[in-house]
Amino acid sequence: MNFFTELAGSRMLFFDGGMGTLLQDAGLKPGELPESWNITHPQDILSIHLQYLQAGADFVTTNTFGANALKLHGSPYTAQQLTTAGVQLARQAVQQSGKKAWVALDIGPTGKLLKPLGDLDFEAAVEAYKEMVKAGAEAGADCCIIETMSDTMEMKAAVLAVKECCQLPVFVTMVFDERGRLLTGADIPAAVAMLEGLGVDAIGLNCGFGPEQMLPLVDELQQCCSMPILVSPNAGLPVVVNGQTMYNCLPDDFAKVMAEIAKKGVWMVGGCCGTTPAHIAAEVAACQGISPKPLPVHHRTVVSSGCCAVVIGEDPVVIGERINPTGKKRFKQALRDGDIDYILNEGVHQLDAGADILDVNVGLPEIDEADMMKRVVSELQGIIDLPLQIDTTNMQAMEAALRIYNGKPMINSVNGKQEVMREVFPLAKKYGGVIVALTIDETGIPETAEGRLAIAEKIVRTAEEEYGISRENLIVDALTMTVSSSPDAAEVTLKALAMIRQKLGVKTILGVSNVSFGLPRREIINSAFFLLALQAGMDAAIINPASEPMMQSLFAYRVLAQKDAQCSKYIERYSQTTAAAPAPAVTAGSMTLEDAVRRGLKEETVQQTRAALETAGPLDIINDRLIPALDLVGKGFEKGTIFLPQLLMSAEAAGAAFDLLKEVMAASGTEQQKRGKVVIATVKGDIHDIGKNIVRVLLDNYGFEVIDLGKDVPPEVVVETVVRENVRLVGLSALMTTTVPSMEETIRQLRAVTDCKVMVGGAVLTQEYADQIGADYYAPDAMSSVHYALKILSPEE
Amino acid sequence: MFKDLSRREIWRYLGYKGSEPDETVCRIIEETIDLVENTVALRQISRRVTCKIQPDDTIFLGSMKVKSQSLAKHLQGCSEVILFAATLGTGIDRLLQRYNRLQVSRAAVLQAVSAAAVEEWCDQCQKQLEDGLEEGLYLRPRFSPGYGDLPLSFQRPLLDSLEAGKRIGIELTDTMLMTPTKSVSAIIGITSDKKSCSVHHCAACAKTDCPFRKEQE
Repeated sequence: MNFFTELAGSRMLFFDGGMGTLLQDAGLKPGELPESWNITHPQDILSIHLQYLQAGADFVTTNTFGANALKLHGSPYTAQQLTTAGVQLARQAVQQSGKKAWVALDIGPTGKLLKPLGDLDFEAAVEAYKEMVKAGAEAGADCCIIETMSDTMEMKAAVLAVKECCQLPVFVTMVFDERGRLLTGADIPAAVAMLEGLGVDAIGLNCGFGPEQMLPLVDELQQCCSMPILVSPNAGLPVVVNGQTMYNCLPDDFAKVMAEIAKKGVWMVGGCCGTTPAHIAAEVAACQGISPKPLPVHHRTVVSSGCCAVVIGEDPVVIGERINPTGKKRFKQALRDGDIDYILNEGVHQLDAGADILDVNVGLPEIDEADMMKRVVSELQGIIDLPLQIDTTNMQAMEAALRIYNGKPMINSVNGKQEVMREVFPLAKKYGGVIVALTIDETGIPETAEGRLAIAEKIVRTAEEEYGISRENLIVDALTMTVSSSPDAAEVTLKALAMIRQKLGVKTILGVSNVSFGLPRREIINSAFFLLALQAGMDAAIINPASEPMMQSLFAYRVLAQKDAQCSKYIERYSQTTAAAPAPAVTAGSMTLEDAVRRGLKEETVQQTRAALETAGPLDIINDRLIPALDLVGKGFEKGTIFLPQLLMSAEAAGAAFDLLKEVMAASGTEQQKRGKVVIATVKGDIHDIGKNIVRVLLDNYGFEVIDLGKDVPPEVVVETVVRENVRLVGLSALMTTTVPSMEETIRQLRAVTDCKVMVGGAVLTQEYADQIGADYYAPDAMSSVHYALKILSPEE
Repeated sequence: MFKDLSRREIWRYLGYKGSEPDETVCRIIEETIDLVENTVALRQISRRVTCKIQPDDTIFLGSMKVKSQSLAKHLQGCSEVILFAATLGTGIDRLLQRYNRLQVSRAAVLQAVSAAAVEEWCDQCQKQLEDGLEEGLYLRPRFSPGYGDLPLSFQRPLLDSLEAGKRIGIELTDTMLMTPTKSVSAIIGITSDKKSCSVHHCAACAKTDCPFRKEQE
């Protein structure tokens, strides 16, 4: 219980208005750090706070918007100094005014984009915010307002910083565009899902627009948000006059629309850019007599990614099960090798097949699961917009994933065991998430539906009463058992599912494929059981979305159960399937393996490789056919008759053949002799890595063991890897002149500890430049890096 | 928005020096153009400010000050400029990231198409800006930090003065690279001398050995 829980909803509450324009009027120069005035011009800041208090503001927002260490380029003051001074001034103003008012510690964006889109590390953002929050809380702030946010990941960093440093209430307001999206892509339901999951105290909108333009966004917000809402628009849309940004919405016009917004059920209003004490005074006057409407309670079971939300309970939700090593040799190998690309590919295939959410399980006894889970989650969410389901029994892995997850995830899973609930629920409470609850406890899996219901009831009660996790955030799994060993297994599961839905009012989920274990043609049983479960009201299923019989059941069910208006989704998916795929120009028989590689046809190449395997061994195919074909393409590229896209398509086609041959060799116990290890990296500070990736694909083809360290790689990481892996060749890329020094530094550090060779490449590099920074070789294009690698690591060839 | 994107420009970025890609690559380019069209979140911001150039090549742009011989030359005769920034948004970077990991051939094409797209988007913005000028005023070609001797570090004050972070989501890395990566920042001179506007960007750049440099037409 904090002051805000009692205060909110008892009456309309008012935030203050803009700070920037008033500071400019008081003489703040362009380019001058506004927060530095907390120290250099305290009287001006104090006076602005006092004016807002006199205008009727209940909350004074400290002048600390940009007072985080990441934004203070070259300021003589630290974040801590500016924050402390800012909070003290606001406190002083409240005291001088003699009014009952609260000090809100203002927290703005870091001014940097977080990884993987930018170069800011998530924990670095958390740390920067923590420095502010600690100083602010210590100086006596009553609450925190995280505002003008446009990135969900950054908001999460800020909210966690607040929650980990103090008990103060925290409000978050965001800038959406006219389509209701943040600059980094999240829509309103996605952002709200994440913030509600993180347990903030109020959610809202600020900046970006004037009050008029905010009306439709407020409506959209109210449709999904069950929290108090705060709205602080600008004084209209900005206009530039003589190079200065002006906001022309007059106080009375502003206030009129703000009253309309208040009447919709918004409990807190304020103002942002261009608003003045006169705007706030008018707003307070216009909202006289409006009392806050009770908050809507949406009872939504919802998860989100950094882009979109998925609601569970409206339309059946497909959770892709393929990112899981259980029973998959190739997947286990990928985990052992740290082959994240293999896992990402599984993700993209399921996305294309129609999954709504992806389950992520990377547990293998011999690997560091927490580290792997964190890597996989952060890489997956960098390239796929679907929400993820964090699937692990390892609590370190679970927390690592929940922490860096960009949104509100599914959590797989909790069960009726006290010990498990004690571990999982606190994490879910802190980070948010919809938790899969398995109907199993210390006594095992009950054989009856009633027994499973009883466990579900226990889990729901514990979550609600002991941890404050509402039942919307649980999804119960009544557990699919195998029909071949117990004939009534399916019936019991379906009965339990229906009872749990009805008696507890919670959403339900099943892992479907277990039902057919031990039977032939399992998809026949699976798809039929899937349909029965859908009919019984199952809200989400963990299945393989690439299994067509399963998806057929789903799409048919949607039509038959009136969940597919005008059968449109069904038609979209299946109307084209009778049409023939475009016929390949050359039929399988008439094209050679070499042709297929040269033309970059992946499927043809694999087919022809399979055919070749009938008469030749895998190593012979590699050495006598694939490599010569690649050489030919490479020569064409160097002569200028073949161009980059073709070169890469050929490399990818050959890559598919290599994958097939590797499997064949693994099965027979033979192994391809690797040509030696090459470390490649795009240097620190550089985030453009396509050149490096092109080199990776080609080196891979030629049988080198490529250790790709990615982009923005610190010199220490390159050195450490080279030493640890005993590597004799390093490839570094840099795109910009500004990052060449970081390339030079990497080479310098390498030279100090190893005599490995260094080749460099990238748009700005030249032979001269390469010599200057001490590289051994300048690679003007991708093929030249292959030649150099061959020369260094396979000189005998 | 991008259906008329210059195919030649895309081929040039992909290294086709004057020749045309084969049918397969052409098809992939077309697919990628559609993909870019559906993925972009186009945003731009601009501000018109005064411009004063001192004999020592110190240039005052509104409240900013910078010393650059090449920019001074480029802005010769301009008493006003437009500060400008535009972006295709983060969606393209996410796609690039996906293809860079999983299908580099597509990444290369996407890279080329989106590079052409961001230039096209800037051209469209610039045309609108020019149409909005008073009769008889024209816009010079865009000049960006990093061109000639204008330091890349001028990105910071330029983007700050436009509030580009808050308004359109362009932030800088520590090494002054823009994120989202498909973004452009520039200074555009306003002039009454139409002839002075026909110089192409490449001609203004000192990097004469650039593989993508266009010959003067």
